[in-house]
Amino acid sequence: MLTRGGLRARKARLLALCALPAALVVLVLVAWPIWLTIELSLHRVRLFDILRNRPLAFTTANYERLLGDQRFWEALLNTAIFAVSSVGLAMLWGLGSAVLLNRRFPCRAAVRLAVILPWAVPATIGSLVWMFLADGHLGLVNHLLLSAGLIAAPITFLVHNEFAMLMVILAHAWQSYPFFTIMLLAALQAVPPELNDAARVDGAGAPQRFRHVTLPALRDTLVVSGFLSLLAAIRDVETILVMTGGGPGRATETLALRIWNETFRFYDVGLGAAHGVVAFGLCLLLMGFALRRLLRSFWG
Amino acid sequence: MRRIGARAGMTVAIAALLSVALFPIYWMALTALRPKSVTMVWPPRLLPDPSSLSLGSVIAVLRDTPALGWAGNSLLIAVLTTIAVVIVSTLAGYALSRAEGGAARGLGTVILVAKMLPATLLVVPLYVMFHRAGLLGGPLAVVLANLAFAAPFATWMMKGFFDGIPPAIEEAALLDGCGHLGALWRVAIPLALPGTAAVALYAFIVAWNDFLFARAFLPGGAVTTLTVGATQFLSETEMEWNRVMAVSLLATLPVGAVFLWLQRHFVGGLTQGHN
Repeated sequence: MLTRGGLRARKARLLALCALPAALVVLVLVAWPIWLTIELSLHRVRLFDILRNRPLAFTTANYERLLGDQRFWEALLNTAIFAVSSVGLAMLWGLGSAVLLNRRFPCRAAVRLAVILPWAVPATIGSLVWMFLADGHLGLVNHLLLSAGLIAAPITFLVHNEFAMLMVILAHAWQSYPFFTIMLLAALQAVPPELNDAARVDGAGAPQRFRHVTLPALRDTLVVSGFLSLLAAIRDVETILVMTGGGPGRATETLALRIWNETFRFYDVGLGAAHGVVAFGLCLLLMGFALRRLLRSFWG
Repeated sequence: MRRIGARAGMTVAIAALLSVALFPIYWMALTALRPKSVTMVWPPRLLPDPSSLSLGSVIAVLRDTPALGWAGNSLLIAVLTTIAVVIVSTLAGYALSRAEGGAARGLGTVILVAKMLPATLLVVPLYVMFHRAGLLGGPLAVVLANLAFAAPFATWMMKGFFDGIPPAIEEAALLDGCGHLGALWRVAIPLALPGTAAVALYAFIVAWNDFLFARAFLPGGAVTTLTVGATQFLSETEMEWNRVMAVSLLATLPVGAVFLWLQRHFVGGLTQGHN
């Protein structure tokens, strides 16, 4: 017969064993790579140095180059423009769709499913489709604008600085709004209908009910999903890499793209890693704002 | 009168939602099922003419290009990732849900932070690590990277599911003579099966949709996945949109089908712990 203490120790051992694979994954595939990034960023190292296992020289030159480089500051600005615009757009569209889909109408289940369908399209594929839509020769966007008489000649969108940014923002917003729809719809369904009815009895019109009943009920969800989406947009590489590669020139080159381009296009691993460390710091800073709230909902 | 106006407004709004959501997908499918000659026509034809629709482009792309191999690679990577993620996250989710004390809290917090880290950050150091380990160029490298990316969120989801299962049920099993392992294997895990399904779907979609890791760690050409392969038909000189969209359709169909089939679990799992 085991004592109660012995049972508890066995249980603790089992739980520790259960946590082991996840701990290994985090340690080997997340923590170590982050450490390696910091280390690489402090060395002058090019891709072929690594492939030939050459010894590396310690240096802080990568950070000096990064801070003195116009491209870095432009990339920061592009990251802000891309992330804030695409998440803002996705949030608005997600909010509108969630409010609408929460009302009663025929075939509601099917319509709900259709509205979140873009989410099931792989990000790369979504970007390819938007690239085709924006094409300068065969693109549908040009056809629609021409037919509406808004433009006189087709525009090669992805070759113009401002239009290219607009297109990657649209493509990314299209792929990310269903996340808001799902989260906000779930939150809306948790709002007791009596609350709305009471407000209606008190004489509140639809806009007032939205402002004073619906919006406060959605605030937490909006903050958490908005924050997660912002992080996702900051780290997005696929959309931009596929559509413009950061171009034309460097009009759509975000921080995440600079990491990729420095490493895999210019083979400067050290400089790429330095950009990675800066991006990491930026994400940690952003996380600091929301981590407390997330941790609370995590531990319940 | 006002009622009719409201209903019309509602109809227009829903039509707008549906066209934004579905039109790009419709356009992809239509282009994939059309012959090249129709795609190259200006102005573009918005509606399909049934006589010219066929699986010709899709079959041609499977026959004339390495697309079938890409699909095989995508499937292999997605299945292996799913198995690994389900095992890791089910066990860890259970541990985090049942354990008390600082160590569990510490691991949970680290996992939560890891869940929010940019995957982009991992590409460069993982490239170096996989090179040193001799894994570069093989599917295992992509599987491990996908595992690192998907496991934290999956663990978070699984913890939510185990939180919903009262520990009293396991304690009853213990009284009936089950060991702790038996209580986990015969009671807790079967009860959390809907959660496991959600996690499996999430992991499969992450791995199937991955572009970054496959592009960085696989050599490309014939040895890559569908998502990367689809981009290989675009070059400075020629944009083979029919082929791009045919491969895009192939890459979208499995995920779309699984999504439509299991969306209830998936949406339920995603909103776990947020309300």
